[in-house]
Amino acid sequence: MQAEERGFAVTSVEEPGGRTRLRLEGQLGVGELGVGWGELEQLAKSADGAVILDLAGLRRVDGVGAALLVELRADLRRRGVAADFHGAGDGVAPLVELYAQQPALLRCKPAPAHRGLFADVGAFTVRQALGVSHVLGRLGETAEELVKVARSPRRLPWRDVPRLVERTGPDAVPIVALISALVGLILAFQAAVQLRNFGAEIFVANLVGLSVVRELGPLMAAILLAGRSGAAIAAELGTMRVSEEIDALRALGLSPQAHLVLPRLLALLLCLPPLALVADACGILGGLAVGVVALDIAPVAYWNQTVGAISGWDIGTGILKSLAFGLIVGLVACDRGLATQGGAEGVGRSTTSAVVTTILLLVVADAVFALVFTVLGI
Amino acid sequence: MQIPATMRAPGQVETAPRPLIEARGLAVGYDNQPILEQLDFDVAAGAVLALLGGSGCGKSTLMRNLVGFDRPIAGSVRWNVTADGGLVQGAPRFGILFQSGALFGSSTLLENVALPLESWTGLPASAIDAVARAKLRLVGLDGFENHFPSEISGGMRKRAGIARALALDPPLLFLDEPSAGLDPITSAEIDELLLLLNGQLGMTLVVVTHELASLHRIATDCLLLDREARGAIARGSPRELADGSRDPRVQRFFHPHARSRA
Repeated sequence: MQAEERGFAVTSVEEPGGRTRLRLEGQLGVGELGVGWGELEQLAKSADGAVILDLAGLRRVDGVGAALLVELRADLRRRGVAADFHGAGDGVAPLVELYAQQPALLRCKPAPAHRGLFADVGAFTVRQALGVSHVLGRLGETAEELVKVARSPRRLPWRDVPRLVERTGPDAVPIVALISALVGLILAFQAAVQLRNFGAEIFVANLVGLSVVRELGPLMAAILLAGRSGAAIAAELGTMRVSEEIDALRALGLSPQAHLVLPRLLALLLCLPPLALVADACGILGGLAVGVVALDIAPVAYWNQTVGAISGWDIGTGILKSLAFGLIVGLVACDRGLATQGGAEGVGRSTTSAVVTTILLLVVADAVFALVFTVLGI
Repeated sequence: MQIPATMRAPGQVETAPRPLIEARGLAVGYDNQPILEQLDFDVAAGAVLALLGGSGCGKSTLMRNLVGFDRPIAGSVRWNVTADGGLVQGAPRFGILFQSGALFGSSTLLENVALPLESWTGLPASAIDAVARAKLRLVGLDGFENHFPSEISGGMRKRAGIARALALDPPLLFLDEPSAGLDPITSAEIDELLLLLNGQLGMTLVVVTHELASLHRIATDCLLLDREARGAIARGSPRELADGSRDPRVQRFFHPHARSRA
């Protein structure tokens, strides 16, 4: 192809009656658009009266060119300028006509208009509030199902439980141990700086021991489980929902509560207390490491101080809490998973929502526990 | 079956057997926004009823309401399907094939088919195994018992889905686009299977479809739904609708290429 055959040119001719005739020549395709399109747009915009887009000189136009021409005409008409095509040849007219019309059959309903910021914030708030009440509803359904399972244990797929327990518990031990040890370490360092001012370094053992056993051990284990197992459950059930597997389960007359929720809850309730104990032990060991290395406390002295500070009841409250935390992780994850809507994106949203809501509820529950224990004086 | 006159209660009029499902004044949709309204129709015993219509007209939604997954916005769906005496109480009285097959991804095909049998029959494990294998053989999947759903093709997944839906021998089978997205040969095979189930086993079928070829082969009765009209616009056998209806919307559905050929 010769160089002068590429590209297209525009000439503007003023006609009587204030009309502007824009004469297009050459070929208008995706390869040539860079050359003269900007000029054409400028000329069209600067026209005062009616505009005639004279296509007689165009040898060829492709889909991109035709679409742009139609769009240019529509744009001019929107601004109140009478604009029309003129003289389109055989190589040009069919394509321009194709883009100018919209087949009635294919026309879709307009998408709902955007509601604006305030409506969005309101809808978000209502959704969140409904989300929490939804979780409570799920708790009720699960309790109801529990009664049925107690009557006929065959309803529960016991086969799945060992696999779920392994994934929830033993697989989580390394990360729980590592994080708790680091938390114990950090806590001990912070405490040491303050307590050294009073020559009371040995009380680092009390502070770390009690904080970890009563608060941080169960909480850290639960938060890690929310991120590991909670996210996994929400994603798994969400994918099952999206691929109609939940409906298939219902169609077979099997309850998703008994078949999916209860085994997962059971696994969480079985695994979280031992994991909390692992977190307790590792947190104390982290503190001990700081005591020995940085504060020159003998390991036996640190250990004895810790044992003296912690009562069996302290460990008991931690276990009690971790059971409640396990319930929260499981219920929220299952609820969000089963309520998934849409496709792959919906699964992502459910997983995020499960983890965020769980962590929020865990901290709220922990605060409630702290309040109750304080009031009861235990 | 006719009831002998002597057995009839006084005043009882001889009538056709009661339809398996009666929908009256039914409105279905999402979030209280109806997609289809004022639906009145029956699913007669032994029929192959096709729910027809363009994409997004609410065929699948209507089916979800018929089986009870979703609650109708208005109106009622009445079931006259009697439970099989041999099954545990609460067993489903219908089977359903989902668009994607919806097999349980973490179970083999055999386990998928065996699950309803384990849950709802008192059969010993060996018998359940045998029945599940027989169901898979019925749909031509013998040899694939221990495959996972991800290891087989889309057409095979649909057939496995049918096998699972047939596990408890339900009198009524729902199928959501059984042949969509399949090659013509597989699609025809599935149609053959459905005709077999309907003809030999007397199973009533409700099929959501928009495959014209399949429709003419298997359906005895059609309900044509329309999104603009928000309801049913035609009812009858495929032949009646294709040749007899003067409604341009019906004609366009059954003869989509007529305009361009003319």
